[in-house]
Amino acid sequence: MAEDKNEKKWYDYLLTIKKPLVYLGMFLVVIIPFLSRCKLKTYETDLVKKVFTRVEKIHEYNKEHPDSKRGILLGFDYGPSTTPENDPMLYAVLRHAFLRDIPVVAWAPYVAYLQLAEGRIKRIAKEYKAEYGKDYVFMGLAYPPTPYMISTGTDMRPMFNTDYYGNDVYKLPILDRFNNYDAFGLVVTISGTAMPEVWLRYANSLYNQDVAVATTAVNAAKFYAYAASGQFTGMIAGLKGAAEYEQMVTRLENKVIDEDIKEYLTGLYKNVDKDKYPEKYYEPEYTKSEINTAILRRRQAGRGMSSQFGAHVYVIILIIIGNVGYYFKRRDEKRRKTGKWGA
Amino acid sequence: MNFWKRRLPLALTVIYGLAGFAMQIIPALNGYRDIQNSWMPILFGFSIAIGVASLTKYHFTKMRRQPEERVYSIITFISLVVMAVAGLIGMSQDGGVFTKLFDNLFSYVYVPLQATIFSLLAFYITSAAYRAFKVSEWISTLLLVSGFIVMLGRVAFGPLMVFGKLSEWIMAVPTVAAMRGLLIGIGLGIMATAIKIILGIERSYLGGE
Repeated sequence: MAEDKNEKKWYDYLLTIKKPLVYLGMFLVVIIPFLSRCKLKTYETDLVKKVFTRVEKIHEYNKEHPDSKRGILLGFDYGPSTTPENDPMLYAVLRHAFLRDIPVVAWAPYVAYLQLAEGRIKRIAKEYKAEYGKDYVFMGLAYPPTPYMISTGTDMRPMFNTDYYGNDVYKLPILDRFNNYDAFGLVVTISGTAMPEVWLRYANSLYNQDVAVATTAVNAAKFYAYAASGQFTGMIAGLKGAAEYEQMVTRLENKVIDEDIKEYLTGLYKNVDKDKYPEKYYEPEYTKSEINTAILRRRQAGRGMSSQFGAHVYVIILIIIGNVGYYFKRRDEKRRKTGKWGA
Repeated sequence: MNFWKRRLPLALTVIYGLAGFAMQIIPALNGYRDIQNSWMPILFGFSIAIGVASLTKYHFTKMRRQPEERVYSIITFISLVVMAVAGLIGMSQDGGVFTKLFDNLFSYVYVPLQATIFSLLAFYITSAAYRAFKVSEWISTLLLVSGFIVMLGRVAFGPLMVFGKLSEWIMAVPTVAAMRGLLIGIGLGIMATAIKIILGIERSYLGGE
């Protein structure tokens, strides 16, 4: 009998897979699809389509009312830990805005987000020849965020005094008009935190401003309730949401630019007045590696989705393995207790 | 001492709690709300100073009392000083050595560290799911099946699309229902706690007792 107890059954092997092996498996299923540059086409959901449509409506409005355009207020509400999920969302939303010539005003609520925000916003602005101070502006730190959100109800400028680069906010042409919620067709909060709720509380509840959220999959579960009630205009949830928006924007870009992206970027700053693009904001020219990176950036979420597919399937397989082992082990233990074992 | 440590903070909490509430609901007092909001950055500034002082004190004490863990405290303290000095001096020297030091430390140390720590979650979750996600009762079976559907649904394509539709329904109906319940409960809890603090019933924030 003692011999029986010590003997390792087949299901024991299923239940005792070593941690390093589990980790190695995870590493491989994530890294192989990513490095092989597989891209997964995903289906598009209503919540993401709502954000896209809202931005398109702003574009339509701007076409009809060129003297009283509407812009997008962008809350860069995420830090380094969630960049893999939030970056593709930011890129897709900014590409959409710049592609449709919608003015963008952005700020970040915490010091740790500032550099990330500045680098990423100018990277996308450069792809569409967006002029700083005219087409977009980065206001810098809006900490603590609540008073900044409230003051945007009337005029955000007194709260900032200068933008991120130290320019006087009263001398930036974009801010002459885009300084309060009336001028913004949409607030987009790209977040890995609870900041979208703060936007809802102040921008939406107090000033009736449309707010769209782009958030990590972990946080999305909480925000579905607000999206279902219509408090959020739409939601880009997790890497999948980012991939959906990325697909939509890429389709639109192909239609609007109607040119191979490599050729488009190569010729973007030829024959333009480079004085309009001070190097302080970005260098008005592209190197080969920058062009390749910009092309890869256009399918960043799609690439991530292939890794996510691998990871999800891997976790499901592991759970099934664990449960099969657990089921047979429990069955044997029951049999042993009831005396039916080995009969 | 009792006045400074207990009565005054309590009185201030009651006064500002009630004033804040009044400013939110009485339109005539909305102007004061802006003044109150402009005080907030100043208060936050002070809280940073208190935080730095507290961190320094804690790690100095630890360095003295726990020599085996001294190295971690030294690293923390050096990181604090280097980032603060580089940031403060760099502010007045645009493009100078200190600005570059600060930028590089941020971009090539802080950002990868944060991203790495967060990405480790994927490994821990996998291991935990394999070991702990077991079908023992009907409710855990339900959870497991929902988890499978949502995981497959998030990456669905082609023949897996049926999971996509099911996943959307799970997120839009049962998840929203459960979340609303949770959020309402949390909201009521926050309100009750706020009322207790404003009325001076809840005093644990004063320390002691």
